[in-house]
Amino acid sequence: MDNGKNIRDELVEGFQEVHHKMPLWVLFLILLSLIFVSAYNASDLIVILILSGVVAYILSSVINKMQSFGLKRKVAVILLYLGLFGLLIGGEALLSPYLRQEIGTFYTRVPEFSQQIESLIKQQSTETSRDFTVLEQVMRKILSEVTLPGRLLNKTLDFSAVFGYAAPFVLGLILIPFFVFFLLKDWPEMLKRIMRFIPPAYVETTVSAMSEMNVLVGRYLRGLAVDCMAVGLIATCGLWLLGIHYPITLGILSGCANVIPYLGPVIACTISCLIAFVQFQSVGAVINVLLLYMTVKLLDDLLIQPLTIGKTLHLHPMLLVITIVTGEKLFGVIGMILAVPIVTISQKIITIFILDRRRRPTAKVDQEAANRIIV
Amino acid sequence: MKKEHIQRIFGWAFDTQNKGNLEKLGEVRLFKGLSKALLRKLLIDLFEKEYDAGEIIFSEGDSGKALYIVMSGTVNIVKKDGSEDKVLAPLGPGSYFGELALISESPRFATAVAVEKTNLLIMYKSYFDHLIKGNSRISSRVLLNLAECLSGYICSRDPKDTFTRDISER
Repeated sequence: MDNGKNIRDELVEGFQEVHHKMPLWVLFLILLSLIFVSAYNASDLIVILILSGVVAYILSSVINKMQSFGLKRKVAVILLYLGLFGLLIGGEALLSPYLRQEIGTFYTRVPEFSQQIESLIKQQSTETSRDFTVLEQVMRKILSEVTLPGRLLNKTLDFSAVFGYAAPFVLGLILIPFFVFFLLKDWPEMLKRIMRFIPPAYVETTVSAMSEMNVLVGRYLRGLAVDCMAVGLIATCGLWLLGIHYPITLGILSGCANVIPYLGPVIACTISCLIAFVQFQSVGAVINVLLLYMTVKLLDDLLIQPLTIGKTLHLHPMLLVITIVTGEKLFGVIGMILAVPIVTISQKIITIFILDRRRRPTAKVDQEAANRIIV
Repeated sequence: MKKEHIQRIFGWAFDTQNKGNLEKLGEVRLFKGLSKALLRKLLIDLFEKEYDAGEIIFSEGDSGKALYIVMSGTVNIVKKDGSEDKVLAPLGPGSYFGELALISESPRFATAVAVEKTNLLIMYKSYFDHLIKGNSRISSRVLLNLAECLSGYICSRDPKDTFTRDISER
């Protein structure tokens, strides 16, 4: 018994010694690994929470505007939800005949498309004796993620498979509006509680980080949303004018994919080109689509992005690719979409804190000026 | 009559809890002349923090980054005069301090201490910049108020003071 107790005490002492001697960077690495492991295991919930945060952030400016007219915050949130619900019903009534038909036929023909695309890739790989397995896998993955809502709509899969795919999707559909509602309603109270815990010495740094983040991130997220909508709209109109099938679906896909820099427009363009090729069986149609996407990209880079997002937040191309690949590995296609905004925002926060640390030692009182005037 | 009627019917939807805070914010010299909608916007956007009695809000020499508005309680502005701490001004509800931080991130010239339980609104420089850049009407009004405040400080100083002398000599 005594022996056991001694061993336990020794273990505890040993642990405490290791804890005190362990360098800070090792603790940081352990913490980072724990975050990654838990993120990997609870990826669905984390994605839902991140999406809720982003949606709440974008909608908060509307709520603040409504509140500035004197409305209670709770009333403003309820009115916004009612408005969005009305828009959803109105949009459904106006667009559903076209959209349902388009999405329905698109998703029922997806197996046919994928078969044709696969045979095309296989044909190319045998002709040129190259290994296209990676490209094939990427295409399959993209098609499977893109076709998920359609497969659910058309119930083409068996119940267990549908449930396996649908569980996170349905969970998101229920939980995101739920989380967004409470984030919007209770955010001022949450912020007050957070502020209560911050020691006075760190208040200005925290407020500075939050204010700068608010201005920059708000502009970035809202700009990104407008940019994606503009790109989606232009792509839809262009595809419709070119006579390509499913212009709305492909336009929505192009808008969403635009969040992923470089890779997103390439993915959207590739899918549209493949559909144009299957539809017209001609290289001319593919070239038309290519030209359309090049025009959209030029318009986006030269006109839309400078007007909406600006040049305040930018990632190094190498970091950008690492971010996209890591996002895809952790959370799939949603991870690819969310990774860039998250890392961009994190980069900004880190910059604010580093700048603050650099500024601190230079803060010396100009005594001459101090004797002259005020606080 | 119609407005009253509407207010009676839809009164439940409007925020009456923050009326006091809105009035206090309207009394702040820096925001005089701003519309109620803008004052409400400020009340929503600014950070609120409660300080206990004796807590130091910022110290002399700290890098100044924010303006503080006293919503409740009292704050003492203290300056070291040799070995003694000299209270320059006790500030009550409706007062504000640290406005120089909105112009430049210069070091604080004095220390601010909460005398009792104090509730402050905090406005950071980048928010102020964003606010005045977005609206010329607000910027002209707020900057004019700020200029008036600064000129008020200059005029209230001792004529022997170097800064005042510099101005009078021009």
